Amino acid sequence: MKANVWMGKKKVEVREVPDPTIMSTSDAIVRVTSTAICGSDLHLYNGFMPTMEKGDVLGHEFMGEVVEVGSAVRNLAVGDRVVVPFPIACGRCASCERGLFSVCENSNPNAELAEKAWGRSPAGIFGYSHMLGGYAGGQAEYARVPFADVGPLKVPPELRDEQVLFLSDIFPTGYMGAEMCGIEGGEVVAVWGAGPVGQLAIASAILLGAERVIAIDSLSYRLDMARERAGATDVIHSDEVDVHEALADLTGGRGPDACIDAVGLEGTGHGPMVAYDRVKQAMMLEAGRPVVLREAIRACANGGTVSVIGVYGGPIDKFPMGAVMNRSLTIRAGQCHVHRYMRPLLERIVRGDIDPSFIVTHRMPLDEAARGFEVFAKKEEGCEKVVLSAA
Amino acid sequence: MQLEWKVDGNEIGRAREGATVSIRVHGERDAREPFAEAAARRSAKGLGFLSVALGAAHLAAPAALAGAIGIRKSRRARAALYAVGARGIVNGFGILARPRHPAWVWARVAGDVIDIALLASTLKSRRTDTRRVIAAGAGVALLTVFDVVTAARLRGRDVNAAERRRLHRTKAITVNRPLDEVARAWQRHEGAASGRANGAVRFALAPGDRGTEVHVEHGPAEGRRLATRLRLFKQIVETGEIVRSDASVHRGMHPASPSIDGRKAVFG
Repeated sequence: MKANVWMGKKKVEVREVPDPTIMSTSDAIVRVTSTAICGSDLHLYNGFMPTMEKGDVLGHEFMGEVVEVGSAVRNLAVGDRVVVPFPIACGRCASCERGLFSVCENSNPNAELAEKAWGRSPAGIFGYSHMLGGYAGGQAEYARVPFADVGPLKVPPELRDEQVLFLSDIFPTGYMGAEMCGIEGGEVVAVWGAGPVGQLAIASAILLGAERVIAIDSLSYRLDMARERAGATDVIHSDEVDVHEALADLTGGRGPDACIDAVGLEGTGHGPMVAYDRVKQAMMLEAGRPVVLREAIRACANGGTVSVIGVYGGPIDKFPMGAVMNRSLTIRAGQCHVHRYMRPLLERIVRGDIDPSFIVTHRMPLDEAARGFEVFAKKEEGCEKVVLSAA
Repeated sequence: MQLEWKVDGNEIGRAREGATVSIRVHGERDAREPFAEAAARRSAKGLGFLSVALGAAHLAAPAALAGAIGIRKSRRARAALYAVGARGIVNGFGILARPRHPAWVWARVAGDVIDIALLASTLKSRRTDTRRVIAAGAGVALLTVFDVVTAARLRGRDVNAAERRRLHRTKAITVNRPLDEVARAWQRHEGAASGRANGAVRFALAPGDRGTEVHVEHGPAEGRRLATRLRLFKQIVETGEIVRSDASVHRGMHPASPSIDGRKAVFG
């Protein structure tokens, strides 16, 4: 089959690899119809995630048709059309039983690597480094899906791929980011990063009852989309104004009640701190540029919440703990527990509350994955979200 | 309450609610280093460092030292201070090399006696500052008391070292199943394989209905293997299988890509 494989920093290639086979009785094989390039794939592409190997099949946002099931699979049958959640979860461990699927205790066969980096291991993830399991990803014609009874969600035929594909990751991720803000109605929420996750976090914050949602980005076309499509009430162009001051102006000096970091380890910005992070990151002395996280913590209203859904990989510097402690801030974070959001969010889509396909700007065949990565990484052609069709 | 069940005798019974159940595969011994021995070893090390530091001071600044302890700055005094300093350094390194052994600390006691005698011999000279010399002598005497107490408490050899290297570490994992199911599964998967479960195994109910804790002791350099084994045991009990990914089916690093006929995927 054809698959998009990682071949080193800023290099991906569609290559011929063997078809996946059933390795366990609880596996299913999915013929991928649509798959997307995630912002977090760019961290792999840009070489910021350790434990990648040349030849790793990428991709953790995918959907398709079940073509084979293991003998123990009960919930799926050949022919079912499914969306597959990006974290792999066994459904049986204590974490899964508590709904914390992205920290499943059994799905990472390379847990030892993750324990070295992070103390304990989270769940395995499709196509996302060896320390997160070493699973072949879904930017391919076929994918093996472990624990097929637990993850894949059957989707109704009347919905197009693009409408449901993002249930695999970014819609639940954005939603969880908004949910972690503890919105009760009337809040001001600021969202750093108007990429695909940021757009869906903005839309989710509105769905959950936030009164005002402020989008922050350095790309005008993304801010336009945030205002026109996602429902942001205000936008801040981070290259044109001082974000901290602008947020103070927009909130009567209080700061936003909740701040969402939808950027993560490759943040950009201005000033000596950003230069400091760039130098340290280039020298491999720091695992990220936490520009946005610092800014969000400083900007957040007293007693507010900072919700982190942007991806971080390792230790970061100059963390403003004094602001967190003295101003009673709450920090919440996590890889999304996709499984617990898929069904309720599918219902939202079916009801017409939201159509997450508004973020798609680029559609291309799987063969052109390399171009998709490049356009998305360089933010060319007004690129917001790239969907690859594999069928 | 503490129950003891045999594994090899097939006497796995039902776990009682709230009970902690120990299963002994082999005899369990407390192989920790006794606290008093550890304390004596630490104070010996402290004396070793002090000895080296004081010796170095003798060699580095004999004139200043002579002034401080109130003796005349003569060629003979300087030679004596050098000798005392050199002895102190050798003695200090001796202690640091073998901090469990009392011999080097007793050597310090002998040195202390010589130092007190040397100080006393200076009292005859009229150019000696008597008060300073007596104060210095009192300081040495105080150190002598520390030396004697430490030397007397050192046991020489770490009697439990070998035992401790064999048994002092444990690995644990929590399995999300009732205790008797976990104990039975352990017996089936691990207890049956002879030579694999060397250490003592202890099962305990995790607080708040969080399943069963499995604690296993292990020997030196067995920790990683045991951690992996426990992880696989948990996978088998909780999911019924060993979880495998594309990059974990073969030995060594290989790409996370489907493999064919059991061969590794290779990319150039």
